[in-house]
Amino acid sequence: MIALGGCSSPSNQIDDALDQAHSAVASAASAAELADGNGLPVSSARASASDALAELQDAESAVSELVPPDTDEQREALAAIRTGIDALLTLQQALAAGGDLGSAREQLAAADEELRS
Amino acid sequence: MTKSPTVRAGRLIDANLHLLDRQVLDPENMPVATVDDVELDDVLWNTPLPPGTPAPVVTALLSGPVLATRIFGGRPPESRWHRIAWTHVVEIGTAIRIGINANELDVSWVERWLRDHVIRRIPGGSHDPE
Amino acid sequence: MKRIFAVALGVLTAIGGFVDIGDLVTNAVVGSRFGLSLAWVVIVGVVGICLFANMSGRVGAVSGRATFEIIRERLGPRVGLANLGASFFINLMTLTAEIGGIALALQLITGVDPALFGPLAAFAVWVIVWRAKFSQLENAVGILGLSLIVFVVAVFLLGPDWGDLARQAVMPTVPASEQPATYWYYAIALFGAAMTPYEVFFFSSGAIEEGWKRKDLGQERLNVFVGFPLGGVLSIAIAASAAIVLLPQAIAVTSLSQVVLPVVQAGGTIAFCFLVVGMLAAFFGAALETTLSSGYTIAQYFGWSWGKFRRPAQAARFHVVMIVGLVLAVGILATGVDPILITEYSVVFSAVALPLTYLPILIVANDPDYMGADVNGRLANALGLVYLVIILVASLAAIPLMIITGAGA
Repeated sequence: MIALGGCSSPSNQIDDALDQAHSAVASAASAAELADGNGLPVSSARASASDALAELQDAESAVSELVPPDTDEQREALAAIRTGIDALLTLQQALAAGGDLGSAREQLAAADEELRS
Repeated sequence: MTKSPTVRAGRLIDANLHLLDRQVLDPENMPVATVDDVELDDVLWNTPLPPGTPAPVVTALLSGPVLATRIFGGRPPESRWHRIAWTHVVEIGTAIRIGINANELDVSWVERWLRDHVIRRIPGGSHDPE
Repeated sequence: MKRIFAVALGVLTAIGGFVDIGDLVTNAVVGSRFGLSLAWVVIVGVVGICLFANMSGRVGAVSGRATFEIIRERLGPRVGLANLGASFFINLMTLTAEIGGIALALQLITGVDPALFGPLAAFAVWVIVWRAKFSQLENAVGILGLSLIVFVVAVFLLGPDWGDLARQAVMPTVPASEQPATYWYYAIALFGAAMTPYEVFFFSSGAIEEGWKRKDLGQERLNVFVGFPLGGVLSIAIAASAAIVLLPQAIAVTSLSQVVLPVVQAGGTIAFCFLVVGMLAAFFGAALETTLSSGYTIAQYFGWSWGKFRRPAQAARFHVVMIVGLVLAVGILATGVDPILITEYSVVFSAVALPLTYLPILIVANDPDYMGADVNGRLANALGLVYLVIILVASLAAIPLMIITGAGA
């Protein structure tokens, strides 16, 4: 979907990618909260996690394929998105292990903060 | 389709409106085919009729793999057409009813082939829905 | 007592059968990005589908012929073929989306990769189409689909600011984070999702499957004019749940797993169970209907025998077409394409094809040869013409808006 908006300026595209990444991380955070004893089955949380991860990877490639490459704005955006990806991977591991989601949720919250700024 | 001055008593129908593209149904209300064309006797394809010729007589309804030619033009050869003889026609209404069973006509050979070679082979194909 | 039961069954089935994956996804996306500012489109769409479904049901019951049979007879093979081509293409897209939706819903329950469920879901659809009686199939999925009422319950449980929701719906504005072009693009998508083209062909063929006659028109009208609007309420509830929970968090819906979040937040595991049962029933029901529609449209155009009321051996080509359709759908899903993406495109293409599918119905419903005294009244025709204009505008604007907005990105 982001690729179709290719007619817009690189700055706009970075904004779009960041919106996409933020939406994904927020979804994962919400799913993690609901899975942490609030009724969401683990199977559904895992689906949420993998969907969110796919969105983040999409946003990452959208930003890294921008021309001209390697502006400051681009590097910051990529860093924030990658924080999100790391948080998602932690969540997936926590869900697979069936253990405590607490630290995964903290990581997601931090990623969310970073993406919002 | 011009009207002949010697038309016999009965209903006057417009072949284009009432025959063409009509559903043909057999006595058991089974759909047989759609009328794609009408066969007239004593008329040569694509030659103008001299004035004063007696009106051609409809001899059969035709159905066939003619969708492309109906839309884009031209005409498939005689051998590609399936005939439903006019004598079989019993009633002309919103659909055309014929007096013989669909199974006895060439035009439904694809249906019979698929029935015998595909559908009957799948379990439950010959049974009524449960 | 039996009468009341039968009447209630008809209405309930209509409500439960109204929502399909197009409605679910589009309403969730719209709710999460635009709040309730597009709720008016659902209302416009519901009135439209009521109008045309009623017409096509009447055509089936009064004339004994299904709409598509009459389209070729009255409008000629060219128009009929154009209609058939468009209908079949959109049917196939919708069918693929519904089967993909079944797989996604199964993933939510089992955690297993949805790609494995595609062929299984398609096979299950085929088995039901092959063997089950038409009315049984419709009643079962319709009643189970009522589970989606959990969305309405969830909206209440979430304790929203009703004033705010009402304001969004009654005084629609484009949110600051979105463009006007995107707003109108989603308006068209929502419209296409509500006025699903296959519904009218299915409805008139269904009238013949169930042997409806003139005396059944009262029941038919009740099903349509009570059932469908209540189904519309369900659609708006889906949008509302997303608007209440996801919109404030700037979560834009792009997957089925996000759609469940507001419901679980409201009602926990029980709500989740109702939701997945409802989703599976809705998607499965829609998959059955689109499969049957693909059979109906092709068989009726070419004059083949068709119908679930006949045993398969007496409608061989009809059943072969449906098998081919299901195989194609599975093939498309096997390429790994996202069913949600297919859904989003299918509703827009539905909107593009609406004039082709609805104009013939309006013409046929006015034909005294088939309808006798039951031709459209003046009100139906007036409304029909108004809707034709709306449909044309939506159809013409759809593709340009798709290009301008990058398909709603």
